[in-house]
Amino acid sequence: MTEAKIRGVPIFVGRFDMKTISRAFFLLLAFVGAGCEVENQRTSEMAVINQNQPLSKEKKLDADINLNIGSMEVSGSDDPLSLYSLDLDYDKANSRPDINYTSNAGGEEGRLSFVLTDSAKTGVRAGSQDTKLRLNFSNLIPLDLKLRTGVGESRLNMSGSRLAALDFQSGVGSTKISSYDANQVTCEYIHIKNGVGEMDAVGLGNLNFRNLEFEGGVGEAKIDFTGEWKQNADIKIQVGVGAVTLIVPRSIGVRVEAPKSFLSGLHLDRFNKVDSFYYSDNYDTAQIRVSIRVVTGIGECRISWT
Amino acid sequence: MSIRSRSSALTAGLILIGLGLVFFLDIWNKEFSAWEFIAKYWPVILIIIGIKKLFLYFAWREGPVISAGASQEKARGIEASSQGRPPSLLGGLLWTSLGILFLLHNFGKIPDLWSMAGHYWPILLILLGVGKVIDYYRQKDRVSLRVGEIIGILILILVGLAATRATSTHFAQSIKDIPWNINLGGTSVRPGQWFGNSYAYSEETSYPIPPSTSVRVENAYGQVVVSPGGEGEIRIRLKKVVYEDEEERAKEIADQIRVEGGLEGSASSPDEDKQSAEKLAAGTSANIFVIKTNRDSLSSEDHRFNTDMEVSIPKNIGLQIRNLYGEVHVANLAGQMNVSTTHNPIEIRDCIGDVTASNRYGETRLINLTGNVSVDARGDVHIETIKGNVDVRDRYSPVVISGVDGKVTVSNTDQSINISDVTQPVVIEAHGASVQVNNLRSTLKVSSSHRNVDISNVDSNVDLQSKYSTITLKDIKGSVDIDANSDRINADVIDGHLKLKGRGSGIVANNVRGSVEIHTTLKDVSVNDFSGSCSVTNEHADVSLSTPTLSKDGVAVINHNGGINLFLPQGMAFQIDATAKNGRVISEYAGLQSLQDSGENETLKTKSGSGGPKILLNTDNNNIHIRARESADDRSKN
Repeated sequence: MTEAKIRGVPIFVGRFDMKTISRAFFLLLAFVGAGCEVENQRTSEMAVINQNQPLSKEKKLDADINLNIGSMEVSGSDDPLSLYSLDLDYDKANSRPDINYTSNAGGEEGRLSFVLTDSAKTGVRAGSQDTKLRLNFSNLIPLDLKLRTGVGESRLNMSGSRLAALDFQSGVGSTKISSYDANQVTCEYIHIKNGVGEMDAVGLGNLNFRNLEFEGGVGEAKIDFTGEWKQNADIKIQVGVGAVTLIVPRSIGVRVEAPKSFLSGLHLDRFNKVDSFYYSDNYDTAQIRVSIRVVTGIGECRISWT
Repeated sequence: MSIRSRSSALTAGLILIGLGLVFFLDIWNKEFSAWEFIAKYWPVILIIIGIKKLFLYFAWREGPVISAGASQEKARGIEASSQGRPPSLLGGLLWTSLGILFLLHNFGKIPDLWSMAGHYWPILLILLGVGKVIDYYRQKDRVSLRVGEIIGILILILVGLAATRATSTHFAQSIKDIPWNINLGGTSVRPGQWFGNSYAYSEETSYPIPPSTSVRVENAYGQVVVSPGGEGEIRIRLKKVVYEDEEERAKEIADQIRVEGGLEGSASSPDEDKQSAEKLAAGTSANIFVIKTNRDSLSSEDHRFNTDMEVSIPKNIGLQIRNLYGEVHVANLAGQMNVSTTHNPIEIRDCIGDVTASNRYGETRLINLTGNVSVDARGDVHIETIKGNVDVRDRYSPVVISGVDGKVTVSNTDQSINISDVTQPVVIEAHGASVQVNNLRSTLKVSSSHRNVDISNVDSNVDLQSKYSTITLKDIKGSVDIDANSDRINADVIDGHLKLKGRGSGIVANNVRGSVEIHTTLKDVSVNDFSGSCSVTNEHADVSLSTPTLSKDGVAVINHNGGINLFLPQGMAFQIDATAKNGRVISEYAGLQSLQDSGENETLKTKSGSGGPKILLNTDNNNIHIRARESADDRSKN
């Protein structure tokens, strides 16, 4: 640290005094910590909604789910009497649910609309930690699922479901998508847009999709394409800031197209470059082939085998 | 070492000793909670730091400039009192006063600390100024204003202004509403009580109850604690915590909150409660006696309160607990139990009857139970020392089970299962969940995918169905049957047979004493030190076998587009039939030299020594290697 004088009074200048800064930070923490009170607290008046829509003539269900704040769990159900069931815990002072189920004239196409809006006016989201939505959709009919989440953790377990399409956009928070059993119908497209937070997808090969588009915002993403592949597919991966790891079964033939970017990296194992494409060494003999287009911003994309 | 660093070490040492003693007390004294103690007395640390700084300030004196010829000892002596920056009085005053302030708050002397900070924070600036003035008269030209101090002042002003603004707007209420409960050592700790007060009231109620009646306790937003009490009586201690700034208003609300008790479906006014309870005591038939608060009838009001219930019931009667957003603790009961809650822990210990527990999001701890146990959870599950059977269904949270005398059935999604010391058969269904199993006295059946499976010390057979997992098996006294898809398997010391029916699965197996039968594709197979027959088929990957002995049933390897490596001890007697289509048969084994080239195929068909067990090796588009295996003596020499 160097010393200078202003009107005869020395002032220390130069590097920041990290010790002092850390003390100031600790002081701030102490100030916050002063409010800690050891007691079981009830902070928000929570309300619970349990809803079960019986399965009648429906041959297809469209679900449009919009959860501004809170965590969400979506899974399939083998209950032959239930089209969907919904359990919602929410802070009734600061949130307002709007749940609407309709079907077409013949009753064969059902449509579920769910919106939970946050009515808190300030930036502080009261009840955010306790707002939880659980949805179980019937595994017996095709499901066209559109999900929008704001702040919170999301879990989609689509094992055994009949997923016809998935459009999922998350705001801030971690996301886990899994499918441990094969989808029983063709999934026309999967669109996943991840805002800020980690993304972990497992067993997407089971979803039997034709097209998949992943848009990663900020945060790491791991996308595991293991599963029972039934058809060729096109995959587009867009990486914003962060790293994406794609895990592909060894039996799948992969072609990768990756425009070069000096800010990003592409890591491929067991691939051969032909013209502007990278082909996996089993591409010619594989029964199932996927085409992956990777667009990276600042970050990297890695493709590994299982 | 300077005074400053020595005293830092002393401070750190004293704090560590204190913390050690506190946690020691926490472990050995059940009445004592370390976290509660720390939450109350932590400002003492600030006071200690502040006093240390004040001591340094008064102990510091300006020293002479050390000449080049001065001895090191003399230099060190001077350094002890005068070298380095002059200590700041401000730091000492600031830390000490804040510590005292927070300590007084924790003792309830300053209930609304945040509001007080919002109004009086400029005092800290005045203290800073006083400190500098004192510094000036004490230290003259060595008075300094450090960068860190400037930053500290800026932070102080920003925080102070924020506090002033926050306490004068509804922002304070929003902060108070934040439900960020922090769980410290099982105690719920919440920031945000700067903005308001809570008042606690308690009342006790009792009801008579005949022995044949079971009890249901219903509560929300508060804990339920149930313990054994006197026969024929239920006693309830209700603690009402009301969140109101004014004590008078809090008392009004608390007076409206009460416990209701009665037969299921009966009216619930206090008088009628007593009547129904008296009917019960007189022997009128009834199945369930319900204890609950009148929260539902107050739901139209905007009251904010918690209700904690301490209930004592006859030891042997059945018990149901329906709680929401509150903990449940039960101990030392002997009746059947059905317990549910959400978002908070359940703990049941030292009970005799069957237990059914359901918990959404909270931890479930079941310890030392004699009956059967059934759990449906979406939170952590910890089960220990159970005499009966255990059935657990859980999602997204870890399950730990140990010391079970009965059967265990567990399913889990996307987290982990850890099981040890179980006497009866274990069945595990793990979707995307890791599995760790140790010390089983009976059979094990596992269905798993996408995660690690570690199994060790099993006294009986293991049956595995797996996809995309990494499997480790060690010390299995029974046989192992695996149905695998894209797995990586490591098996070590298996007394029975090893059968693998796989697709895209690789395996390394060592010390298999029974027969080995492996059918897979795409990944390498390596089997070492097997004692029984060995049969392997593979495609598009290699097979490597190494054995010190050959059983009479011999070895058969059929590969496609993959190599075969066979390692045998030198001097062994056997018959071999090895064919490599579009490949070579390469022998580095003494006595196996004759190659018969028939076009594109190479075949080695001969005897070693006097002949004996048959070895059949067959592949295409790759080679077969037969090599001498190093003996144990060779390995020890190397």
